[in-house]
Amino acid sequence: MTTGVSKNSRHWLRLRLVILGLGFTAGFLLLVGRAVDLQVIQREHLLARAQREFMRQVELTPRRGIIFDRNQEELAVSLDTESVYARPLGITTPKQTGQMLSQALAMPEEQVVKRLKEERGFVWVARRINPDRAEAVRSLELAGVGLINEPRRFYPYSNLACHVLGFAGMDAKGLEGVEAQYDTVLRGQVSKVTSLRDALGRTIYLTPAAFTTLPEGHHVILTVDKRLQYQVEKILAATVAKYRAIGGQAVVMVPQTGEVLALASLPAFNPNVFGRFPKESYRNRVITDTFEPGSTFKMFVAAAALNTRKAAPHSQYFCENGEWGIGGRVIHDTHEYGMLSLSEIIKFSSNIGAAKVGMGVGAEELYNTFKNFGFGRPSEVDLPGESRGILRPYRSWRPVDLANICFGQGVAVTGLQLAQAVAAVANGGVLMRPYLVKAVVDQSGHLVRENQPQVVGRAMGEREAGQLTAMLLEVTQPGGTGTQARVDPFPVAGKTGTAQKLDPSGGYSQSDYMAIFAGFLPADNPKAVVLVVVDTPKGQHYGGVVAGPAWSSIARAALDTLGTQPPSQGAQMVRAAMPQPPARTQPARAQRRPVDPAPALAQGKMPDLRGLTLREVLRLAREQRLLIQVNGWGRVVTQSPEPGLILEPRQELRVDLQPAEGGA
Amino acid sequence: MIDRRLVTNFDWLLVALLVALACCGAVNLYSAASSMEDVGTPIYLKQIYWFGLGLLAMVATATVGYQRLATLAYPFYLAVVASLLAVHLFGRVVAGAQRWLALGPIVVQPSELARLAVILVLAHYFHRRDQNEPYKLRQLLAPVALVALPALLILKQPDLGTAVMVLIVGASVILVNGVRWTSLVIASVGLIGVLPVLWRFMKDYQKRRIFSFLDPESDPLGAAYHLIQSKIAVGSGQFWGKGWMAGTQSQLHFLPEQHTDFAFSVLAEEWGFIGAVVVLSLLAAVVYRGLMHALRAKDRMGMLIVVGATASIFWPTFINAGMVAGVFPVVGIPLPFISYGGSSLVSTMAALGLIQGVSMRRFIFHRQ
Repeated sequence: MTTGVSKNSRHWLRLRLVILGLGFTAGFLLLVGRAVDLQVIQREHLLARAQREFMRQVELTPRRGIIFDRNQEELAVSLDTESVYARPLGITTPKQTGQMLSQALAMPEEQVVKRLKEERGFVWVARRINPDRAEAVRSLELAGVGLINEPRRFYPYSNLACHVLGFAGMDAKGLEGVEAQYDTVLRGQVSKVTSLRDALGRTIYLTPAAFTTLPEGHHVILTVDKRLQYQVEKILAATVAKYRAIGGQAVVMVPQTGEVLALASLPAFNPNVFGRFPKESYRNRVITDTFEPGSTFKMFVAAAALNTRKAAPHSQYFCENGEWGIGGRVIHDTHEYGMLSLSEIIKFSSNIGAAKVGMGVGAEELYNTFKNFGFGRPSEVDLPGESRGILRPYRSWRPVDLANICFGQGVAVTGLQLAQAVAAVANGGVLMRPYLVKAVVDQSGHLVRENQPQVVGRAMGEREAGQLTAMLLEVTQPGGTGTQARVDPFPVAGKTGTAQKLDPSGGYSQSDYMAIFAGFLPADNPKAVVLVVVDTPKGQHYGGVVAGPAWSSIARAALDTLGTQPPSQGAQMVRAAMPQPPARTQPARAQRRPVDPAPALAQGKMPDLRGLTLREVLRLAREQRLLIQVNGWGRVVTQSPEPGLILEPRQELRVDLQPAEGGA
Repeated sequence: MIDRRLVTNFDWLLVALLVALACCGAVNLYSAASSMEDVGTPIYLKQIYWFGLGLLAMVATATVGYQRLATLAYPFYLAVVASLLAVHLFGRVVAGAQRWLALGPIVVQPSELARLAVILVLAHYFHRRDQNEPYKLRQLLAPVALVALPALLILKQPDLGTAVMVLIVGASVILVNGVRWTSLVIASVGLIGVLPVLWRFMKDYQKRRIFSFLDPESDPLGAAYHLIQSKIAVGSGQFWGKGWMAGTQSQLHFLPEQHTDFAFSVLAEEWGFIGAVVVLSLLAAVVYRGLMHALRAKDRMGMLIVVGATASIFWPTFINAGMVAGVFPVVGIPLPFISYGGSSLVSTMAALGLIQGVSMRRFIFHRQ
């Protein structure tokens, strides 16, 4: 039936076939041309793009180091926690997935679903979740949802030392406190590793070693003592609560080194959940807030007077019976004083007396002394956000300004500056830089860096510092303003301050005060400098009344922590039986002699104290539990009871000191 | 019936080309699927098994002979259409599309057989009509309907790639058989008019692919992701390639569907321009070999069958390689022998068997 294909038709069919073949050829040539285009002409560009995709400088963020207290107790650690992420583009059923995820994570469903619907390659669903929830998410085995190990910063003692520690944010970057100041150290060397990356963004390490040798941050060891810090915070909080104050500060320092043993600021926050606290609570008021130091500043006026030899402790000033007009302003004292010695001006905290002492010294010398004590410049403590305080150049002082500054008005200091300056008095006049980090150690405990005590400079002469100490000791003696700051049997040297706060509407507030007590103990052999500041106490406002008791409690806690035991009766016996090291003396000087009064004491007799320095007398008094009353400065010239007399228990010893003649 | 001449006229060169291609495909699949999770038989081994099965299919279609098969064209065609309907009713849904039909333990994709059915039925139809003048539009209604019915059923699955394949293979046969110029122009204009209708049939993802093809950088992580990644992979392969198993874009899974639709990107990345050209040349050789057999075919039916079979090698090659190189929008059409896919490979081989059959019988006088 079918007769093949006619010649003509066959011809046309063949022609069409050839055309088809030519079309196919064109197609193949197009493909080859495209291959040339992509693989030869555009190759550099496309290769670069490929490399951008798969090669990535991966920052291997190490686990953050631990922050230890001085006894190697952990104050900030990094815990292994997991975070949940999702790849929305890989999730076909965001509703279902979101529902299951939200149940496992106890999160609002809409929130989760919304994130899963984002047109992005990667989103966080929940970060740093607890292990149960992580396990719940893992067991769901949802497509496009995964878990990544993301260490979380944890502060085991919550509020403890929160302002020292600060906190680290979500991306493990230190944001406040030591966490911020030592961020690079704690974070460690972020090592950059070139790695391959797959299309899901997962890092594929070039070598397994790169994975196993993940760097870790260094550990930081603080100077802070956890137990002391705890007590300080507790005492401060109780005081702030008792006086319904709006805030408070407390600092404990080692005068000889500048190490900060405790630093507390109220209000506080919990660094674990810092987001729930108001931003103001993050502020470490001890270094960021300035206040007028009030009467505490008188000790530096006295320091200036002693240092410039403009006055001696017994120099007399007329205190105008409580009211003195100067430069159009009237200065008041709380009591009406007539003639007072410099020592008494400090003891009773006379404003008029301090102003007169200051005027005797002169603006320039005063200014220089204040500068040398570290006021008006940052202490360079190793914490971020420090304020320098306000100390105007002396040339701009009017007489009334000078008078005001002498009782701490018209200057502003930070709590730490004040503590540092007091520490200089305790340290024989040498100003030390305060610091909070003792050392940095690596993962295996090897010392990487140790912070050594740093001398800033000399604020006053050593002898003058001794004189000033004796005057400050009077403050806590009966009749002084700081009797509530006593820490018996330790002699306490300190100064009260009751500073009127500045009223925002101008002038000084009549109701708001800063109650301050700054001092150190034991006065004869200072172990600790303590500062307590209570911001706007209600009811009472005197520094000695409000801050004094807290100071006393903190100081006692500090001595306990440092292991400074008051010599007990038993210890005395043992001590007496043991050969005593000879007291340090300087035989080159007149009226000085090597003494070893201890044997005499051991026999219950009054030793000969003549020629000893105040410090030596105080040490002896402390060791032998003698009550001592000191007058003057220099070396002992007279003593009561006389040497050789039989001592009675708790007999009071009176010594009069005078400057050495012709010495040095 | 197995004449000695049948064996001597068997196109052994074509078989050699196919084996070479299958080897390239298996080697490439070994690399492309190397990072996939192990589930049973490795992909490359499965592809080799499928190729073996394909060879059997080729021998079968070659020996049975196209004339005999053509007499079964309609029943076969009806069976395919019926099974496509069955897929709609009882088919298995994989990746959102209903394409597979489970026949006991075997899962088959009837859409892959549609090509064969359309080639046979068209060749049979035109052979019966034996009309020497080019076809007018009205006369084309029946053959176009024969192509369109399975194509629409496949499009509905949805499987745009296979549907397009059926359409253009069918169109190739119809065009070679002869269409009047005027009719061709009218048909083209009509087709352009139909495009909006087709647009309405398309799924959102398919529309997005077209958009992203027109402006790939507008949405590099979204719909255009495949396109851009494939271009990057191919381009970064450069002239000599990155080496087997060393393609960064593929081994790190930047490439999507790398053992199926984008297997050729893996090859072009790892073997470079050289590798791509070798594979394209092998495919071109198969196509030219087919065209040669078409020219030599002794009757219209044989010629049209060979044209259809050749077109079903050329078009997927052209579209897949074009897609991989970013010339065409992303359409799920596998590259013959290189992309993994059992049904597709076997049906392609069966079509090549038809070519062999035509070639073998060109000197035999056939009596009906």
